[in-house]
Amino acid sequence: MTGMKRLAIFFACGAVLHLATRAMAPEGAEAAARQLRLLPVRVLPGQDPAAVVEEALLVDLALERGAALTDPVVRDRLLSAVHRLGGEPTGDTSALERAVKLGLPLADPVVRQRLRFHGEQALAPPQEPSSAQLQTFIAARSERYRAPERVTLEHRFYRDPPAGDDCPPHTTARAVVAGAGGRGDAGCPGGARRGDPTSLPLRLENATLAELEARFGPEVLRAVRVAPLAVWSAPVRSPFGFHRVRVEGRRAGGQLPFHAIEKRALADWRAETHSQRLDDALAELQLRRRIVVTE
Amino acid sequence: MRCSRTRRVASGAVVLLGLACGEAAEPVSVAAEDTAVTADVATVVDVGPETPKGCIRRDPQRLPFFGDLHVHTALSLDANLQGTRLRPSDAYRFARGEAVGLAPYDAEGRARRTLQLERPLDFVAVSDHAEFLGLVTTCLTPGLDGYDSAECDMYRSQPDVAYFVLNGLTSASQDSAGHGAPCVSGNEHCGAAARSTWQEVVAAAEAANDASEECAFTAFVAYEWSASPGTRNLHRNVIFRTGEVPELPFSYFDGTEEEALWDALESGCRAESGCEALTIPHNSNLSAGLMFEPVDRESRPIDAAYAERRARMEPLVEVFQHKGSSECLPELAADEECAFERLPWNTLASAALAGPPDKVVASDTVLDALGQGLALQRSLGMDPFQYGLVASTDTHLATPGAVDEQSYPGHGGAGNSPGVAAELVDKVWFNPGGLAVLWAEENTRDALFAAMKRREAYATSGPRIVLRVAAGPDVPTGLCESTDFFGESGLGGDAPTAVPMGGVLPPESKRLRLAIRAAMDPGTAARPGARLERLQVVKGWLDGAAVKYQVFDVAVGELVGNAVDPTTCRPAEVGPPELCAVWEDPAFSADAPAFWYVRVIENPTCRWQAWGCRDVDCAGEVPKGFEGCCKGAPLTQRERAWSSPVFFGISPPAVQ
Repeated sequence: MTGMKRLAIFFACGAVLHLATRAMAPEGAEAAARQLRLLPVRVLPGQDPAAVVEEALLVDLALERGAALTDPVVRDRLLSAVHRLGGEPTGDTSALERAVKLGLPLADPVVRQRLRFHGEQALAPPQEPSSAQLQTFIAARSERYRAPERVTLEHRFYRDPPAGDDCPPHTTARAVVAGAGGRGDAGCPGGARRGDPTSLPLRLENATLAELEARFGPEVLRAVRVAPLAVWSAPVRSPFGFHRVRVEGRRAGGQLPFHAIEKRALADWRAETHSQRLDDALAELQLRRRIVVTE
Repeated sequence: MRCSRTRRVASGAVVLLGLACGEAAEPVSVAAEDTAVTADVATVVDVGPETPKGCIRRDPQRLPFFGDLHVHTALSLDANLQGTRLRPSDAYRFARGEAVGLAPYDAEGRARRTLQLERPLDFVAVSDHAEFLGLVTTCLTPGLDGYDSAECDMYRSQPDVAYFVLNGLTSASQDSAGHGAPCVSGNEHCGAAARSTWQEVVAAAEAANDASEECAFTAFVAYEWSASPGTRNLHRNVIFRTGEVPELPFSYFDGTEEEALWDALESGCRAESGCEALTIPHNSNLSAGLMFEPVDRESRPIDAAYAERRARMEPLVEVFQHKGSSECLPELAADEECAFERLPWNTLASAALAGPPDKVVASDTVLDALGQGLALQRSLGMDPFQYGLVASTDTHLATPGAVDEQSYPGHGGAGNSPGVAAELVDKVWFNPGGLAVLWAEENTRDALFAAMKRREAYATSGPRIVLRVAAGPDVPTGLCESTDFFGESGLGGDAPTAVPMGGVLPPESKRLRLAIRAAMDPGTAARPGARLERLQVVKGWLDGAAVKYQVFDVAVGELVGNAVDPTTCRPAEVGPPELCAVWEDPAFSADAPAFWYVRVIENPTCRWQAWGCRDVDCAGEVPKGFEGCCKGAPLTQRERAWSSPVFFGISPPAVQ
């Protein structure tokens, strides 16, 4: 098939679809459009259109919920403003309707801020999660609520590179396996076994990897991550000098029990969900308005 | 007759709370969460067990825990007016290692900057200002009484003006130092709002505190009492041991002297109800000599009861933070190291406005206070200034522990000022602040609080230097060759023969030996740490009626001068990673009260502004926006740690 033929078929199909859509849709679409609440929004120079629309939506929602009547400050300020404009004296309800039609709620910064607040409260009221919701929230952020991996290890420090045969790892490993020397030191007798004096700890029990890095630096951390159990490592160089480590045990990180993290997770949930719920509700609200933006 | 402090309040022009630097921005809603601000609800928070049954990580020889005890969030007036949006729970998340968004924000409210700690902290106290706690909420919550006041309208529409005017209104006199204009009449309006805001503070700490056996993070309930008569800083951070706390924080508007604060804590925070508190003064460098003035609230010379109470309530002082070092003056101890991060001003206002230098006085410094304490000890039998040392950030961005020089985001919420280069996120004479380090058996509120009370604490200007001290007459001289420093020093066992930093030597001591061991901060793969240059001992003693000071170099590495590679700012890899010394005081006198503390000084590294300023030629044409680079702040520094002193003389009040 030539390119021209393909193009002709594409346009022909498009035309058919267009005609079909026009024939079927207008009544429903127009009906839907008629149901949409009209929301005129004026954006002044320098204003961010999205922010202005958001505020207008919230104010409109608050008015829809009757905030002009229930909030005394809003009510008094709008009545006062509309009366200043003159005209026939009417009841409060009519006067407030007139004020809204004239766009006064958006013109008065105090009224605008109060209505915005009411709108936010209406859209995203304080809400507590169910236990199941909270558990789902935790599961989605499992890294945050994990217990850290921990390690127990022995450490020897050397200012200078230790001699190759000072404490050969394979010898020590055999000693450990054989149970000689209690702590696997049979292959490294005497002072050399203890290494040089240091302020770094010679033994850590159940230390987190973060603590290990903070005390020894990233090089030792890397070595410990991959070290097999009960074997003295080859010398590892760090900013301090040289280290041999022997990992005695590891405690895998894992999910903490619910009761241990419930309070923290609840606080996180409250903080995170408020703005998300507001965003979602605003998006949904926007679908029910026909927003006409003028500049 | 001397002017009392109360009268000095009346003469004060402006009270500036935290001097968060930068331009004011839109004030930030503090009613966004589920705080029911209209309800007058007592502070009742579900308080779980303070101490877990046992931490997985526990060491009877004690471990060094790094943290920040001075943190402001959007709940503090000054931070809020400068656009900080992060709240206490965000600050704790940040401290535990999560990324947060920072001001400035775009039109859609998205943060334009993010920050994350490379190394999380072990503990934090969020210490928002007690003053204006209700006002901030009142002015930002439609429907609250006071919201529609002219002052609140100004708060929202002109935050930069409100910053000064609100502070100024409340500093006009002691009588009108009453919670801000919208809340003047007895604080009925703002009181309810303050209670709900305080509830949020307490609840955030309770939620963040890890009371499980993991003991991964400790969060203290805290606030800052922000007394600033005439902008002379007398601020104290109040730290609570548990979640059982008073219904409301005690503010400067409730009482203008430190004794009033202690009165309130003693009556409103009682041990039998599980409440316990201590106070930590900070920024004596900006107190114009008031912080350690030896007079009481009636301007009478302090007596033994005052001294005992102060020592009991204030075991620690914050020696270093964002607004400089309060340690010492170079001329006081003929000590050039005292020039480190020292501001040439001594009030909050002058430091903010950066006018002509003030006449900085010795009594602005912690060293002088330690020395005067010795003299008072002799006359009163009690030393009111027997302080241990900590540092913190005083961040107003809710970013505890953000002490990394290269990623320093500035101090205030609004970012840098208009017309200033983006690289200069703060005024160059300020710095990122430091950390508090506590030696404790485990990372729990009880263990850390006990460390604060016994002053087994030290300060760093940011790096995670590990510093241990053992002091006593019989500390072995060969301890540096030992692989068991703790065991052989005499610190351990059932009958210790040595005391750690913060401790008091036995009165029968005939000599003083200090064993000091310091390890460099190894840093991370991305940010290697700096090696050590020297260990110093700073001694103060009473010689007759005079207080004398002397500084000893007790271990010196390889001096590298100012040799930092300016193209990379990478620290020089010369000098020792560890330093150790056993030093015996050559002039110890059993008749002379004395103290000794240790400084650990690193090799030079780049200061925060160096990354932005290193290509600026101050002798030539300075690019627009970079003028701050040429205001005299050095591009390099030698960061450091300060131990708490060891004391000799009269024992402090018994630690419970």
